[in-house]
Amino acid sequence: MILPDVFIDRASPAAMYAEANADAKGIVAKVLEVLGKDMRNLGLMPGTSIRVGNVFAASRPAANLCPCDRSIILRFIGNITPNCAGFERRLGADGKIFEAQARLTVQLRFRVDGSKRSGWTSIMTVQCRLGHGPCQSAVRERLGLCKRNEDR
Amino acid sequence: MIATAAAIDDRPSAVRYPRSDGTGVPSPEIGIPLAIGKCRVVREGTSVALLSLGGRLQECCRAADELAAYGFSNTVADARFAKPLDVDPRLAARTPPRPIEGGSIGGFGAIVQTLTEHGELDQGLIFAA
Repeated sequence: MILPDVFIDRASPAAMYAEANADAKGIVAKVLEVLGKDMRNLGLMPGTSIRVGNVFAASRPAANLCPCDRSIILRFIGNITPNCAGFERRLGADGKIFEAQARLTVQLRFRVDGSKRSGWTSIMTVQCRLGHGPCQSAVRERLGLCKRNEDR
Repeated sequence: MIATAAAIDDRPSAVRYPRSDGTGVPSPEIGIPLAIGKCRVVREGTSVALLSLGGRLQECCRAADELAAYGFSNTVADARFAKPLDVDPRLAARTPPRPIEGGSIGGFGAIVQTLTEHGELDQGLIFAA
C-alpha cells in the first residue's frame, strides 16, 4: 500500500492518512479485498446473528450444546471463507448457485435442556450448509444464492 | 537508529525523524546498533502478513487486531530496511504479505516483489503491494 497520487489537503497526520486509506481501517479493507472476502459486502459483520442449516463439522463438539441441530443460531464472529476449500458452491442447471457450504467462525446459541436458560458458546469454527429459511434469505441473496431449489 | 548511524563508518547514512507524535517505547540506556537488513517481527500468525516500512507500524498492529476479530491470524513485521531486504522465512510462510509504506509507486512494495524472481513467494501465496 502506498500513498495515492492525489491532492490531500493539510490536516492532522491521522486525518491525512485516513484520507489516503493508510490507516488501520484502510489496511483491513485492503487485506479483505485481496483475499476476496470482503464480508461487509456479504452483510456479515461480527456480531451478526444468522440462522443456518445443519452444522456438520465444528472445531469442538457442539452436538451436546445444540439439541436442535437442524436449525441453530450462530452469532457471527469471524469471516466467511467463500474462496477456500471450506466453501462449496453447487450450480444448478442454469448455472445459478443453489447450495452452499461455508466455514464460519462463530459462537453458537445453546439452550440448557429442561430449562429456559440459554447462552453462547466460546468461539469456534464450524462448517455449515446454508438453508432456505426466511432468516437466511438476506444472507443467501448477498452470496448470490437462489432462495429455493425450485428457483433454479 | 542513532547508534546504528554512528556505527556505520564506511558509507553515508542518514536518520529520518518523524515530524509528528510517535508511539512511546522504552529506550535502552546505551543505544545498540541494529543488524543491517534485518526486520523485526512484532507478532506472529498464520494467515496474513503485514510488512510495514516507516511510520505505519502502529496502524498495522491496529489493523491486525481488527483482522484477528474476523478470524485471521496475523503476522506483523517492521521491515526496518528497504535494502538489503530481509528474507525472513517467518514472513515467507504467510499469506498474503502486504507491504505497507508511506512512499510511492515503485517503492518498497516493488522491492519486496523482486522476491518473486527468486521463488521466495512461490508457496501458493497471494502477494499484494
